[in-house]
Amino acid sequence: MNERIKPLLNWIFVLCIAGILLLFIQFPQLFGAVSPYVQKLGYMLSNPSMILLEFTTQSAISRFGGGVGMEGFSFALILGLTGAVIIFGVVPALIVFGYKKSETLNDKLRPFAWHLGMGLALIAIGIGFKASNSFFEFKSVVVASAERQHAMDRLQFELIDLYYDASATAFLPHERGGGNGHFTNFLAKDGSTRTIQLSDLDRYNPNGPFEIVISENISDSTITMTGVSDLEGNNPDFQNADGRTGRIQMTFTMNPYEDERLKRLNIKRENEWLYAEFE
Amino acid sequence: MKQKTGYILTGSLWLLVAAGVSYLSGNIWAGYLTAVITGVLYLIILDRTLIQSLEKPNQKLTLRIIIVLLVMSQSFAAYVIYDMSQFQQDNLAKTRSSIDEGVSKLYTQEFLLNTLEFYYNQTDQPGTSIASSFREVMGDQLQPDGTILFTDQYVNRDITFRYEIPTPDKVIIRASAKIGKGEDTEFVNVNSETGKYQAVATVTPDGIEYEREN
Repeated sequence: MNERIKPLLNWIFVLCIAGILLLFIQFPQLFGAVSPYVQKLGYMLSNPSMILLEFTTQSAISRFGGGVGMEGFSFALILGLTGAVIIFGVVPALIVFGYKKSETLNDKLRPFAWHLGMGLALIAIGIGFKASNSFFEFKSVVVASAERQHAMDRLQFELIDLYYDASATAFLPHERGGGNGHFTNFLAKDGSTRTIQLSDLDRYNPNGPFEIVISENISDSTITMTGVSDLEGNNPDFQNADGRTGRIQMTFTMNPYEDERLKRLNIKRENEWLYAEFE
Repeated sequence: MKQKTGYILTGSLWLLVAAGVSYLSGNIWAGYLTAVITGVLYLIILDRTLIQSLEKPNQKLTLRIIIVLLVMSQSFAAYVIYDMSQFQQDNLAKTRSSIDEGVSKLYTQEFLLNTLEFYYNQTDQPGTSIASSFREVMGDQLQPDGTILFTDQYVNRDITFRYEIPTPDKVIIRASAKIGKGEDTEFVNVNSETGKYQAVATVTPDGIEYEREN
């Protein structure tokens, strides 16, 4: 064999090994029924933390559903640790032994140990940096989405609390400061009747994180409340119930005189892209 | 041969130590961190012995660059992925608590609102109280042991509801989650769980109150 082509061949072998591993990770479906195992093997040899992430995610989902967590000793841990031992221990040793053997053989075509070690090292370095970058970017998106969801949960809970407070207050007789059975039958100071107001509700906090508005279209038996968040919605020109524009808001309509109300919860999220098609 | 056996033994010991750390700490990531730290120590030893003995300086340099990049890329990836896994766990736990809080708020207040409505529709009847209205509204969902067994079975699967009638004009429902976590991890719930979400809803002739206890 031409001596000048041997260094090139060395790197072709290395790239082939790295390419096969990349196929294991990026296109596991090519391997049909064994694709999950192939992908696991790919991660074990390039980024073992991914195997641990998969395991801890399954564990967290199990806890979410009321099952026990699966932390501690597990098969995933053994795969992950084996991967770490291969990447930090076996791979550098393969390269060193490859160099040493080629010194004794005095051949420019290096032994297979060197090709294997170098191929694994290249893919582990590449996948490691790529994963760091991807997860870093992904997390910022996921965190923002989760924070928005938790804020909307708080708003929904506040509307539920205020609805029950309003309904209970409407049931109270006038002498207890209620509406005598109606949302539109509260006593004004001059003795006339008026509709329910937020100031009638013990649980309303004017300094709370959301702006709450009771709809003017209130009837005897049905109340509509809107909570406006500080979160920016998908349409900056959307007219919010509190006079602002472009915020995500939630509207809750309920009739406490209806039967089986819980089955007819009417909560509508507005100006939020997830729910845009339902508006 | 002797050298290869030595490497196999070192690798096995390395695995065992890391797995042992995970087993003892109950945390899968603790074992992985141990494996990475042990790996870096091993690489330093490898550098001082085998790599140092390579004849060509460019081979030494190439190998050292590869080792540094390997340690950096794997350490960054492990940290970012660990961080993501912690976030996922926290987020799922928070979501679970939110679901339990929502169910608790709706069910406790719904039945107390029905009680209040019934009470004010029956006030002209002698002997009507909040307690009697509550018993009427809830019917056989009230169990003798103080729990409420809703006809909607899935609600009871995740939350325990207990009622108390301290006076004829006051009824209390306590909702205690079985899964969703509360704020205080040491809090002892009425359903014998620890650290779970718990809230108390009260109805009197003056209205309904709802307060989170954990």
